[in-house]
Amino acid sequence: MGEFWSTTILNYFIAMGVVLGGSVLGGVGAFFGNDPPMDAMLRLSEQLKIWALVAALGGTFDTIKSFEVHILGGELHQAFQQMIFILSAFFGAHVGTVLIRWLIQGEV
Amino acid sequence: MKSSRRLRLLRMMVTFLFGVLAGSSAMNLLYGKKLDALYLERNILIYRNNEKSREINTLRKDLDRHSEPRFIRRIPVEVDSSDVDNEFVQERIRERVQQILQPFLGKPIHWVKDNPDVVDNMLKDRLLPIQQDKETHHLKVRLKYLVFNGSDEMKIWITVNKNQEKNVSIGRK
Repeated sequence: MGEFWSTTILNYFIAMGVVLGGSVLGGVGAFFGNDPPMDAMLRLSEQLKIWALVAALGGTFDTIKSFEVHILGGELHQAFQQMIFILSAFFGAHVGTVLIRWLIQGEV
Repeated sequence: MKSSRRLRLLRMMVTFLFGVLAGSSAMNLLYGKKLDALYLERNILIYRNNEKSREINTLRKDLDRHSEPRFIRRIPVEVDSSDVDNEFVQERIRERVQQILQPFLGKPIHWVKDNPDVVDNMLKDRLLPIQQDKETHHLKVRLKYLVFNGSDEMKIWITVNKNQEKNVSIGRK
């Protein structure tokens, strides 16, 4: 049970970190590239959401494979756990995106 | 010993890089909005500048088109008939003056505009021999007004006076 919750929390923060870190450092890169940084951060936060999910789960192929194995093997609670991990990563990525949006919110 | 020194150096470099990243991120977050506003303003100004340049080019082309040389195609003549009231004589005077000013037909208008005394000199105190009723009348002609109408007409007003010399008469109705 402990491993389940630690993996869930880890996925959440990894996904959030990918979005936040990628957006903030992408903004720094946009500044050096003569582009508006806040605008770049906003775009990147949306684009990185899916990649944050993938990074948190450790790849898409493994997750889907384990899904298949657990469902076909009748281990539905394992499949449910995988689902929770995916949802946790998704929420982490989403919270990161929302934080970036709140940060940049306001008139330019 | 060497390896621990190298490790320390590496850690310092990495810490420094992290510090640079953290500092640039913080500065970006603090001044990002202002930077975005300046970028937006710059783009708007570039767009407006391009628009104005296009407008200037269009106006320049229009100006060039209008400043193309205009040529004199017609020279109507009006006679000031203080001394001459016979219309036939006036008509002959008009014909004679138009003949005299024929060289100006087809010439650019600015030619006369730049040298207005040319027309005056051509007509100044000129004696026109006008034939009427088997008599020859000598009339003195002088330029009164010169006006440019439209893009191809040079209208002139002339005064006609009888010649004060002997053996001259003016036709009457």
